[in-house]
Amino acid sequence: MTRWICGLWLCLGLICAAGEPTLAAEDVQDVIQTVQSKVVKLYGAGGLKNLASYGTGFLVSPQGHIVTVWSHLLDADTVSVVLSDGRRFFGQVVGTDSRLDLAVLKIDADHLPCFDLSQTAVVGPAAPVLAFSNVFKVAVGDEPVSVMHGVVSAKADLSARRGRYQLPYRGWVYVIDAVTNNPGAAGGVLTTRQGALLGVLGREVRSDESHVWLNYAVPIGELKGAIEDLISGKSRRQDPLANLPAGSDGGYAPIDFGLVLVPDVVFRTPAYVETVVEGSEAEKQGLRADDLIVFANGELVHSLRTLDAVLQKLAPGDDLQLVVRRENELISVTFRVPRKK
Amino acid sequence: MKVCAVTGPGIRLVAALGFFVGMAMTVRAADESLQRQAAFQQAVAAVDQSIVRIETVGGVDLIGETLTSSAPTTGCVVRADGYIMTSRFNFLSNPSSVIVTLFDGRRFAAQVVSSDLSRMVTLLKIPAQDLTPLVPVPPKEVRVGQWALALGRTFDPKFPNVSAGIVSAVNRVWGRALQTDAKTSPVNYGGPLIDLTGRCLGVIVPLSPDAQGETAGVEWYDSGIGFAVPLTDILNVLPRLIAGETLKPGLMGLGFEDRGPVSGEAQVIRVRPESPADQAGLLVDDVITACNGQTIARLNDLKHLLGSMYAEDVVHLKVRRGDQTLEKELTLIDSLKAFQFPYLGVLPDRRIPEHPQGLAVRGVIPGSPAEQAGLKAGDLIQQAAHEAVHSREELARQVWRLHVEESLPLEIDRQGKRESISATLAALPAEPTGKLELAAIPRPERPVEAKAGRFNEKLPDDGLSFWVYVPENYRPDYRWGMLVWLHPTGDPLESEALRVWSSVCQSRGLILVGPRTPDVSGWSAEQQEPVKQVMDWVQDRYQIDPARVVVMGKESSAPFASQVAFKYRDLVRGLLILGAPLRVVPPDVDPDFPLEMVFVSAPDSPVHRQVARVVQILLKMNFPAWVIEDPQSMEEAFPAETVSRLAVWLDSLDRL
Repeated sequence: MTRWICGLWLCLGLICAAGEPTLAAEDVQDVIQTVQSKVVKLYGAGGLKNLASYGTGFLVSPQGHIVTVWSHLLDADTVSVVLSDGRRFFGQVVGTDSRLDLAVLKIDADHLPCFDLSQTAVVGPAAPVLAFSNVFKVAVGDEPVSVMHGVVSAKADLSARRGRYQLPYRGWVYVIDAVTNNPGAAGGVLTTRQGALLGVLGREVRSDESHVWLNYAVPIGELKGAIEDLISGKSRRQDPLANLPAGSDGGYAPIDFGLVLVPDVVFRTPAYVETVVEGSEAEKQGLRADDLIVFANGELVHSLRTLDAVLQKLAPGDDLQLVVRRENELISVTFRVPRKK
Repeated sequence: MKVCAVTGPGIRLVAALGFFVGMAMTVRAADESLQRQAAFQQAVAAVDQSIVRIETVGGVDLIGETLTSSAPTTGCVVRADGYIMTSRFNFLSNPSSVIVTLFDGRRFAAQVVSSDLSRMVTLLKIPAQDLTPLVPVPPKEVRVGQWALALGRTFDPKFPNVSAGIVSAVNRVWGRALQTDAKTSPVNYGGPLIDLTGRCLGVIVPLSPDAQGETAGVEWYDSGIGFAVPLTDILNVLPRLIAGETLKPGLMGLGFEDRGPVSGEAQVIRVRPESPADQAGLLVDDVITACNGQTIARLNDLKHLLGSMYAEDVVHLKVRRGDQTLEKELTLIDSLKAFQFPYLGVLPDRRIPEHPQGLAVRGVIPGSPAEQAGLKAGDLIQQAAHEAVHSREELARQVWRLHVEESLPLEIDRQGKRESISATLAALPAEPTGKLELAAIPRPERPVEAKAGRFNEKLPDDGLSFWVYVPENYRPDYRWGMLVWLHPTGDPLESEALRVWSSVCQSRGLILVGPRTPDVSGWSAEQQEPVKQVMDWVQDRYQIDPARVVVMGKESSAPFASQVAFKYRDLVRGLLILGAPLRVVPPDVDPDFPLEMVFVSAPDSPVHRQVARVVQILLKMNFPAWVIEDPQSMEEAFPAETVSRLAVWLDSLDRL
């Protein structure tokens, strides 16, 4: 009986295999094993409240170059690295890039399985993905890191909305529909279900506005160049954060465009126009008292403070586009930013 | 897809055939994952045009502690002529302006048309035509276990964000919602939950079967327990919402004893005066046996049926009264006449064990109905309304089932002499009398084993740390009140609180507890449960009077303190707020969970006007609430005069 059923299975299986295009795909279990062999557990400084002393990294060269996030973990002189087969090494920091929140370590080994940075992938929303990391250091012994599955929820440039997420990295990210970003997960990998590298799991980040934890990964394509530079020793150690230009002059205020807004009384005072200065540019553009400014250069104006932040960034010759709400109408006007007197 | 059904784990056992079949299987697995991806993407693309982004401008920044969200949220097109349905969650801050952005980037100013306060959705209107409304899945076709995608338009304005899961259950939250394990959170509240054919199962909202209130259920975000209100239900009431009607949950005005989810028939223990139930002639002890033709075996069956009903809906009840079965019809209403606590003016004795023959009277409040009826300290109340009483709880049950101005017959024992008296109940005054004699806390006869003085503690497993002050005169054969000090952000005022309150604790019989926030940025909603555990910790180790558990917050900690008080209403009896108004008003005066409130504010302080307004609102709702105006409260955290008035209040919370 069993044999007969097996025979039937075989037939159906073969029909299926023959009837559909062959796909160069591996069994997902095999994929997981292969990826896990390239992901390492890191143990270093930390251990104090809310600072995990463990993390994740992944191999990018057979000689033992490991990519991870740049974190307090690396403040120790050496970092313990545990490979998926349980072998232990001490890793040295080769270089860091604070702009990309990136660090490269090196262990003294050879012939290691690793990701090929020229063989990566990019996917869109709803694509199924796998995430690998030393999350919560659940993999306590010699075993490989944990794997989770989910789909890509969105591809989004979160940093463009200033202050919304305190991301250490600026650029677009994969938002993941799985709770991947927990202590120890940063530096882990996001792959397709076929094992192609998509990105590096980020830190634990909470939205400033909705107070919701965000699960994200930085796309590998955005990091590739920097990783290769760090490995080849083209040091990027000079920290761009230290070289930020000192605060420039005070920017602009609404009055520079002929607008007087309501006084800023509560935390979120809506940006209502109180009066329009006679003969000013604002009057020429047709703005009126009681107009509510809702967008400034594409950014939603929650309050006077958001508007202020936009005006601060303006330079002479820039365009300032305002969208105001008057009754139930949205009206768009554009100013040329004047030279300051 | 028949092959799927027969690919099982047994295949690999057949070694000779394994290779080929294995090949076939892996092709299937990979193929399936790709097919699924394609199916997800097609489904999302199909509804893309019906999902809008909603942004709000202005409005208050906090609802309780949960939401400072001014992040973009999501809405669903439900009619081609510009009607958008979204989660009420997105409008809690009462924004002054709402902007809707369509899938193609067009922006419109939106008007809030109306809300459904039962299913927590809000209807918006934008001046647009020819939109693509969502198509509902008929309820009969919804299958538990089918794929469900939760969509929002919050990350990328050009393409919806996706969370994948299944339909976990139908008819949840008392019949109001579908449940899904797709991740729901502020990134998709208001967005659609869709099936793989691109039809809409429901609109995603935060809901909680246990809690009410504006933000109930938000704490479950991304937990695998999410809810969506079926679109078919929404479309059923859409004409009423378009007409501007605010839909509210329907109420009968009956109180039931909740004996847990699995036991207990629906036996009435309270009928609210002038409620539909009262007008239909329902009485205490009636048992509801059927509702709208459905048999009611347990209380939860009834809650389930009523949960999905609105005010103005009609219910037919079958009621068992003794041997009779009665039929009643009543029309649900949206709000009950506020319950008013009746008041006798008796302070019960706090010694343990209680007197075996009745409730000993510690004192009688001057000017109260009890005093007018001639009750005196030292009397023993043996019967109230012809029922034997031995404890405060038993007397409370008799007092609170009556109304103000009704009379309560009492049988008392005065120095061995039995007397019958009658007291005419008054409304509970919020502010206690200025003078209240100290209760004599007897000195312990033997050394007390419990730890006393000020000491530090920590919840197990690296939990919340807190400090406790147990008065040196503590003894376990007396009921002690508990004052929970939730310190403001920044200075925890520990030594100041101890210095001022320790003598009050000794003389008024209170234990002071000070949980410490683990986060320098202050309290967040996640700490409600740990704070509750701290209160449990004290209750487990000390003799705590359930009538005198008070939570105190100051300025920045006031919203958190009020959340704790409103969330754990079965535990907290008093809320004391220094230098701040309330951000949320509790839903209703509940005779099962009395809650008294005091505010302290300086007449010159910027919040004073708001405090006064909040107290007015609370009084209108019949909440016992009052305000201490103390100019010194600007200068000092706990000014002496205020503290002495609060001491009297804390000492009289167990009055009846």
